[in-house]
Amino acid sequence: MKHLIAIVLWILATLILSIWGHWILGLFSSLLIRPFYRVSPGRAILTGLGVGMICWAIPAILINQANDGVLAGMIGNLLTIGSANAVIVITSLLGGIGLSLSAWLSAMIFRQDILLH
Amino acid sequence: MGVLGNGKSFGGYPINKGHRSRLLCLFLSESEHLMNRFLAILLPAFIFAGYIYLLNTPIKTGSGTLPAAGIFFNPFCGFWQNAESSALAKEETIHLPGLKEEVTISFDQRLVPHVFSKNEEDLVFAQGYLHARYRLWQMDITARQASGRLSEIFGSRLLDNDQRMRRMGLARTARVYAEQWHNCPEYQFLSSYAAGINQYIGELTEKNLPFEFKLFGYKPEAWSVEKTGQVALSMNLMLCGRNEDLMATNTLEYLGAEDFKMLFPRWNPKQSPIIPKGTTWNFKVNQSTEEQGESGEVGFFPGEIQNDYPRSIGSNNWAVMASKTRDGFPILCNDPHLTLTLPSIWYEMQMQTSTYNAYGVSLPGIPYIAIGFNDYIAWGETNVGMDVSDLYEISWQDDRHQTYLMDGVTKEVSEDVERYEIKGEETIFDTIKLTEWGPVFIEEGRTLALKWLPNLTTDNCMVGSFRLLNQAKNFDDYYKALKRFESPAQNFAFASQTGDVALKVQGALPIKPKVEGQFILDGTIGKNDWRGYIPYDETPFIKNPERGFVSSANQNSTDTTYPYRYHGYFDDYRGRTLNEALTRMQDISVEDMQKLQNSTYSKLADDATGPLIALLPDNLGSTPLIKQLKAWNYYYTSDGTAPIIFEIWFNEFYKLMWDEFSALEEEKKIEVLFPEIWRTIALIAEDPTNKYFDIRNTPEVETAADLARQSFEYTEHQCDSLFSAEPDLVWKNYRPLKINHLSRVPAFSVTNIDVGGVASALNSVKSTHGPSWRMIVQLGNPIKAWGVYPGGQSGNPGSPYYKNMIDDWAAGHYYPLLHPTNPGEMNDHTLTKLSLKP
Repeated sequence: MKHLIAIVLWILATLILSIWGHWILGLFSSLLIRPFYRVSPGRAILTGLGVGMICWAIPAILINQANDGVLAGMIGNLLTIGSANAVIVITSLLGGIGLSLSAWLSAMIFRQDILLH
Repeated sequence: MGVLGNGKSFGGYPINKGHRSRLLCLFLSESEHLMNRFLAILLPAFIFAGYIYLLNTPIKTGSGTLPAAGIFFNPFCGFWQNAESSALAKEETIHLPGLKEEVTISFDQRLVPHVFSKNEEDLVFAQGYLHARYRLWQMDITARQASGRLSEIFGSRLLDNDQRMRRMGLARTARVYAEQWHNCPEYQFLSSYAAGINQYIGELTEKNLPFEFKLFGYKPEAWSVEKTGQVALSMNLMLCGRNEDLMATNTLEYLGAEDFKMLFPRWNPKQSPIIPKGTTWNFKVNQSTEEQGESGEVGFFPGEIQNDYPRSIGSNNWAVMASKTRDGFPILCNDPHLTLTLPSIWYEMQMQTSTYNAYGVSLPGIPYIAIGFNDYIAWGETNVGMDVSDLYEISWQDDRHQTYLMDGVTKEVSEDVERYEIKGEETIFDTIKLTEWGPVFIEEGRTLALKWLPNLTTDNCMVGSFRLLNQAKNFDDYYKALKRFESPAQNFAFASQTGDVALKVQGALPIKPKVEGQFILDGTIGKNDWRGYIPYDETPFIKNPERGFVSSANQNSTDTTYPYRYHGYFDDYRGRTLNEALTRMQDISVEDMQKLQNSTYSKLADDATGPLIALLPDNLGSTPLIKQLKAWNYYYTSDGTAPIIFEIWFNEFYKLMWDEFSALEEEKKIEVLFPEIWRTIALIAEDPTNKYFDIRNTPEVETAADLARQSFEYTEHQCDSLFSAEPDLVWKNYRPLKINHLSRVPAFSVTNIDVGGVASALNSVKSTHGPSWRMIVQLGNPIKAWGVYPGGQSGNPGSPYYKNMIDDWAAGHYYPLLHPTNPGEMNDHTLTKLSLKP
């Protein structure tokens, strides 16, 4: 439960920083959330990947639906990767990888915390 | 973590010798731990930093640069933010400090804005704001293209193009225009327009930056009156930038004067000019303008003139008088044919203020309505093909090419140093030499300087003409409005509610020496210069003619009786089709006009098919292909197959006939002029044994009949392979129409549009060109109008209004153009409303 709350807070922090701050700031949200979410580096990486993918995919999916996939379809065409869905996958992976690396970094910075607890 | 001690205490506690050694071990272990932690952090920190760097770095590819992935893909301010929803907010209010009073804008169902303003300055400010809001990148790139600054965005692959633009002098001239316009009565409106654009640019953030700026990784610059000049010059480049002097000179050198005259006669006897044949002219021309100009040294000229636009761009306009129409009102029609692009060259809108109420299409980057109507009149334009670009050979007087000879006097060049900031590369400088003729344009062994009209027309305030046309109430206003229009020369058709129709060929039309600038002229002789311009009241003009209509389709302005001689690039077929149709038609309805604008009938095919078939031997005259051609009505319908057969046959015939010209280009590495199509068809009928029918690399002496047979056999073979590979092949697939995005990125372009037509038809569709706006205005009370263009109001590829009108345009459908007098009348038609408040 504690972890679930921490993940929800992490998602919220990422979205708030990305929308009202700067998209790069969103990738540093793991540093903020770290005191509430103390897990091993491996687990942090996996959770970061998930959180990042969710945070980048959800807005992309919502925008894409409202736009009937028009622009994402063109981008897919431009990059010769196919459909709008492939563009959403790339978008979510870019966010996911960013947040997983950031989560790994914060896990390593606060590694002693893990040893103490 | 502890605090290291001073040797006597540790963390405030006293220590002895035993403690010391344990503490040393602890210290060493702590240091190692710190080092390990540091190293453990370093790896993810390094990888994370590298990833952030990658997300922010554009990726260079073989064909260009891809945008930085993080900046472009992030859904918070990347391209996703340009993916617009089809559900727009019902109402929006924006506070714009530059406004004096409130401006109300109702967007109709096609996102066409109907702008209601209490004063003209606010109206033009709002137009600037709207142009920027929907077309900012288009405006930016058009201005950059004209000013030779594309390599700043796209890198060195566009440097050649930039250098050509700067050599032509567009950037210099735009600066001069901006200075001259300070004295124009419209300057305050030009400034208000620029302020409206800048208001929008000032509102931009990373998130709402137009899509292409994100894609190409740069930001818009502030707009200025000079940039409006650059956009105006870009139109000049498209409409009067063509130069065939070098090609014509090389051709003359090859053919000799007699053959040149035979193959390139000045007048097509079948031509149906804009001003009807037989019109009498009530003025005489001063004899001094008839002096013979002199060409320079004879010989082939190397070098290349890149003509970006086709010889005849092709547009139609006409106005029929009330006596010829079913409802008893004049009707004006216009369809300017230009390079079709996305976003479209036009932005449709209504502009209403206390003094006028204009509707039509505007050019993003230039204020006012360019083609349209108001509560009293309608006007439309087609291009005048007169040659306003001449080359002069320079005779250098020193090795460094700093001095040249003119009328026996040695003159010095002035120099302009142009700076090119190339994306990702070092800045380079290029010196352009300026002579009295104009900038040195080609310097490859022989030197040619360019004299180009737009560089000379420093009072060329097309904005002034557009403004007066927007306000015009009658014929006198129209006639007065055109006086300020200098370049690119246009055929301005006019019709009014009071029943007048008129057409004036308007622009600064140079009076030239007798050779009319067709060939490269000797730059050492001052009398080879232009002799001023045709006076305003003597440019070709017609009003309320007996035949009941005025029309133009880029053909010759007049017959050969016009007192001023001129040379140019004129269409030979659409004018004939149009004049014949309008002469024949009575009780004309709006629907008839729509059909005529969309007509795919080709006079060229009509002229050529019969004579070609007649040349064939009997055994070929009844083949299936010939049967198809005999049954053909010369309409290039999208689902037709006969047009494919004719095009293959005629093109092959043309290629075989003028094989000498292709060979000359190949052998000498020079550019030459090929005879016109009408002359080719005329020779088939008039002189089928002419020596030019002979194929140069065969021992036999061929005639027109031999060429017809050979080219037909080739056509049979080609059609066999084409139709066996694709049995359903029809005209629209054989000549697919493509509407390119301005960046030419295929993903944002539209291809394979289901449309008929051909260059020689009124619906003059080529592979990337066509009717860029079709408008029909019935001048009753109230005025009713219909229109359509191939694109959409939004320049954003992610908008539902980016290309929404293409299918209707291709199908020949029209939208009724709403022209309310107050915002209340828009209520039932409003998609969204925008209030601009000070």
